[in-house]
Amino acid sequence: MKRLRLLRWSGSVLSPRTRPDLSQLQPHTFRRCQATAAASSAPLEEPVPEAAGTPFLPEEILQRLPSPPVTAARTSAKLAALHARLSLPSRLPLETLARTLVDASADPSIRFNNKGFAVLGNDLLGYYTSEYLLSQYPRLPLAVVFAAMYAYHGPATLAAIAREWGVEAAAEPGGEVDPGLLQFKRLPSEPRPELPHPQLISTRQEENPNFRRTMSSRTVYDDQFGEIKERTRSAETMQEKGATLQRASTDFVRAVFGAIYLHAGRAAAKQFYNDHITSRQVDMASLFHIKNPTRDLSRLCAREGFQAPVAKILSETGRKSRTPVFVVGIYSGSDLLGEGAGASLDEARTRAAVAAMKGWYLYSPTEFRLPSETEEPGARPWTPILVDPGEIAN
Amino acid sequence: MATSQRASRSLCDTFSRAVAPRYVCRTCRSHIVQPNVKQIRQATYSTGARENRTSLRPKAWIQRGGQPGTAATYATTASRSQKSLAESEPSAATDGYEEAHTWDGYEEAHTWDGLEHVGHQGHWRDLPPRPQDDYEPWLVAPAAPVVDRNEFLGYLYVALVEKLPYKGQNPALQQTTTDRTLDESLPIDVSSLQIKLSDSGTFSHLEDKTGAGQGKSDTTAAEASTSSEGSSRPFEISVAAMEEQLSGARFDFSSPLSFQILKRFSQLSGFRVPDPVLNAVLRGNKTALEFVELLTQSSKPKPKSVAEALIMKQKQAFGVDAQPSSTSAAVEAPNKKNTPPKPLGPNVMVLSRRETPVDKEKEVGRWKVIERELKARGLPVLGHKVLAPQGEAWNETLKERRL
Repeated sequence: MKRLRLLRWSGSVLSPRTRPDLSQLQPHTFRRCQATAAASSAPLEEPVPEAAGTPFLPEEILQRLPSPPVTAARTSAKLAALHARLSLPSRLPLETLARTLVDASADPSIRFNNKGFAVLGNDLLGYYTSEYLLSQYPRLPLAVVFAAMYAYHGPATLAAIAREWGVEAAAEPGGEVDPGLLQFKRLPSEPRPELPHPQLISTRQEENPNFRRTMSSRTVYDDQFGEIKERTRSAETMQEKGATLQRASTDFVRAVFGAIYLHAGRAAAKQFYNDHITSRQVDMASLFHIKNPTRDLSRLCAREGFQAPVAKILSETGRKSRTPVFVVGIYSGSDLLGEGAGASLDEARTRAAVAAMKGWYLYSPTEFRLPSETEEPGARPWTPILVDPGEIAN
Repeated sequence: MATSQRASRSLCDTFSRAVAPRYVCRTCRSHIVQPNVKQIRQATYSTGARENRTSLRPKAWIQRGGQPGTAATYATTASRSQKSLAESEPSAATDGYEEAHTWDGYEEAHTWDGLEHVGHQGHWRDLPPRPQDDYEPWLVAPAAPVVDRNEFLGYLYVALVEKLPYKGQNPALQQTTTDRTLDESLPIDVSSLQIKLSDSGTFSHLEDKTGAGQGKSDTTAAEASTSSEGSSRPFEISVAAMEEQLSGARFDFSSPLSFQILKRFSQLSGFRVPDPVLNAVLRGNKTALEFVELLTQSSKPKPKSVAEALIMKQKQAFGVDAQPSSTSAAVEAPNKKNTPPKPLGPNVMVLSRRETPVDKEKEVGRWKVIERELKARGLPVLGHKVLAPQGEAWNETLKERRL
């Protein structure tokens, strides 16, 4: 497998942060050096005010900055409290944590916003979550995998995590704002879009409803959640207009993961992931949406060489009453595949088939290893895990 | 005391009425059997006071001399009981009362003419100073107080040279210690002098160094010390030499010489030695060098508010404003462990003034939006002193509109 040299391209993330494009964006130029950098590389041609070297800038200068200066991170109580609350490693400086709180809509310069961190953190989250899901549930259908990925680190979840972390949002970004607040330019108030909230998997909004998109195409072309990727141009225009709180919170949490990975290393990032993502309880059985369970079950049994499934009444009560209850079991030969109870025989049989299908899909090995565990020094060599031949064709 | 008095009196009153209770405890029984003289007299005084109360009350101020048997209140009875029995004879009480009652020399005053005048009658600023108002202070505080340790050390050395008795051959120093001042007319070399200590480590006297003459050439770092008049020439001696002589030396607070030295030191430096410093030196048995360190520490200007002190502490802890304070802290608190300054915690913000709602709006970045919208609507920006100074444009326009 090809290995990327992270340090090479992450050099821009950790490089001294000066603002070369300020002459186009801002009428005044101020030097803002990141504390983790050794020294600034590019000398500024315009005269820098004397106050730029001092840790405390006057308010007039601060209000012209799109985001708080780096020196303000040390004096922010909110930021220090957040650092301590998350038990972040001490190698992650407060300045970087402050940078993860600056959204791209607040400060368009990539040297000061969290975009680079967020991209890395998003990939890390997708990597860790997908390997965890596939190792623990090797037979999950792809649609459920997408749904589980969304449940573990989708935008809604990450926004909830940011809220649970106690991150508050600033009303308006600026240099005078406390660095411990999430800073983003809010979208102007508009009527709610006509489109309903995009739902997952089956009912998602297509660009062209006539164009048939399969699960395989989603795997190849779409993002980790099976959603259509945002086009670059539309993303830029959206960024100029502003961002929603959910979007900014999502990018912040992703950026924190990326920052931890860059500053504290892989082990710390993995530990942080286990503490904050894996520890969240997701009911995998509720993510299924099986349309024809009996048909799928018979196909599954045919594919796996089992005997054809047979539904049998295990028990019943009140057949002649208003509320009868039937308990139906589905057998493959003498093996009970699933069991379900319902008010009618059909309902009970369907429930039993769904239970049998879930029992098949939600198989989990008792002991499993993650591929990322082999990256640790001194780890045992990788042993192949169970790979399912694929989901049952509909 | 008062409670026991009241209890005993009530007991006596009770028993004087000869009401026999069914059960009498042992203590009360002893009271019954042997009532002491004091209680008997108190009982008689109280009865006598009840009889004389109506006649004495209008002239109760006459009895302020402490004459017994006149007051009917409990407090006077209690205070009287603390006096000796000889003073509280009933015969003396009647004599005193008669004497006060029949004294004719008293004339009640209705104006304050003839009374001794104390203070001024107002307009003291307009009164010219009298000769007795002039005084010469022994210490004039300078405008810029001394905060340098080496200067304190030099002043202390000069005070020692001036006040310690001299036992040597130099005739210029053979004067009495009170008259000796280091000025131009005194042909002495300070570096040739040696401060001798007694066996207990206290300052004893001055002596000539054995190799006098080479001392001045050996001095490297110049230390200028001047007397309070400012007319003396600089006497050069290195700080290291002074520290060497003063190391291990202590003040003998049983000797008036130490206080003369300290007074002369205060006159020279213009810095009044605080009592806590003297107390620390006395109780801690500190050396002269530690005394100088304490003075240097205490002479630094104190922060005027708690916020300033906390901000300084935060700055020191975060390294924004690094100040070497390890030596002074060690001298100031020798019993405690020498710990570096601890911050209040990175999650503590110290503000120099009370936080206003405007500050809170600024903290979340909303204030600039409010300000912008207010200005766009032609409304005044209120709520902050700096933001709405007097005579701003909107204020002027408002005035014009009103006119």
